[in-house]
Amino acid sequence: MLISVLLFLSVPIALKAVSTMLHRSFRDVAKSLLVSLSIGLILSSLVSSLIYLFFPSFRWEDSIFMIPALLTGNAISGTYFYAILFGESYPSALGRNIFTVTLATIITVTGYVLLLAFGLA
Amino acid sequence: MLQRRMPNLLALAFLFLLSLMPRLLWLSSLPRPYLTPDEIIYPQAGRAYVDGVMHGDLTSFRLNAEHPPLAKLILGALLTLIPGHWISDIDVQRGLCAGLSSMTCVIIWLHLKRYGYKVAFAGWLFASIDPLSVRYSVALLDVAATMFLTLSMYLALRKRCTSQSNSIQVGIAGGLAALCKYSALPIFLGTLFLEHVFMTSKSRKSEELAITTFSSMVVILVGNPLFWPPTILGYSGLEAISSSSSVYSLGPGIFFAFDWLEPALQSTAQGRTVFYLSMFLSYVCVFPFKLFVESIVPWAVLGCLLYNVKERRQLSDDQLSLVPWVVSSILFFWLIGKSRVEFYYAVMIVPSMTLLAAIMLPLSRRPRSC
Repeated sequence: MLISVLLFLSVPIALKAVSTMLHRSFRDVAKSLLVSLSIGLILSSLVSSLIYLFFPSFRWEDSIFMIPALLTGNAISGTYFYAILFGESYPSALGRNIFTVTLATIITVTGYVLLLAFGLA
Repeated sequence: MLQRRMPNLLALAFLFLLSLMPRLLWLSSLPRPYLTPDEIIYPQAGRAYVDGVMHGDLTSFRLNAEHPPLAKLILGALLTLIPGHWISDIDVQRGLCAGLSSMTCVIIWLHLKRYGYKVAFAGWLFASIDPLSVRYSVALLDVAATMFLTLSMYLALRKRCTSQSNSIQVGIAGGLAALCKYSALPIFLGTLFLEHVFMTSKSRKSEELAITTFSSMVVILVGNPLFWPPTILGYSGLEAISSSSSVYSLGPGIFFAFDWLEPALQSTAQGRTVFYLSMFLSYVCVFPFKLFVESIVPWAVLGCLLYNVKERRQLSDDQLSLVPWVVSSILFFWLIGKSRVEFYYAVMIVPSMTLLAAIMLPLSRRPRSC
């Protein structure tokens, strides 16, 4: 559970850092990330539903390389939906989301490695 | 006053009965028991809780301590009132489930009525005949929590005229939802927080959010004896909860979807690392519920979203007011590992999506202001 806890702590830190670096409000950055992520997840549900419908024996665990492709597709399309529905620039929202996710990942991994190094993980 | 309200009440009763029919038909066709062990344990727990409350013996709340007591207490009260030789415990439980699920449909109607009868009818119809809502109406705790959560959102968005008493009502309804199922609490608090983050033009102020959160916490602490001090209860309720809460874990200490990464990083055997890594990727990248196979509501939401995107139309304030609830439910069930094995959790996502879909339909009209 440690990684999840670190991730939950690092997301607001990353949001704050991105909002400061890009001179945007915390609300804008958080809204963009959370809504894009949710729409992306709905689209992921659509893809998995269709795959389940047409290929019932398909297992995601066996096609590990398809999963990042799904993630990328959903992230891009989720952000596109967000940008239109909230009247924002698409490249700006996409860049901001990618930056936030990258930063949150770096903070989480660094935190985990440090905890491992100090024997706390 | 009553004469003026009578036609409205009759209309609501009619809508309730119409929503009830498909649920009762479906539930009566299922084998007894169907949802095991829940359909066996909940009636026993409900009876034990009611007996315990009546005799001042709160040790009965140790039974099924991993879930909060309210829905089981309501069931226990019904079982005590209805003579056992008339109808079986499972049938009473299913009747209650169908009733609570139909109440949710009526609240959706009430919520949408201010956008016009066409919108209200569309939303009510989506909720009433939605295969997912009908199929999983067998899950007592989820259905009860969904009903109270929908009620809290109805109260929160009813007039958008925020006041302290309205904030307290919203908090009480949210607290009651969490007293039926703990999952409702993060969704409720997440919605409040996101509403604050989204800050639409009619959002609540921080003070009102604090009052809502505080009143929901008071309801949860007062309503669940397991949170009472051991001096009153006679035992540690928190210990009872923690000893029963192993049901929430999945696999090697997996609680959240991201937890699969930890065994993947720590494992020394290559085969296991690949397995844990593939589990991690599938949990994080694939949404747990196949909503588009089981429900009609996501299709309506997606259709409306695509229509808005095609027309390059932004979301209005009323549509935005529902986005925090949708986002909070989706993110919560995505993060929780157990969503992958308990598909009926999806029943808690449907009302928010139904309301959003109905408001986004092209037949929507401006709501009456307060």
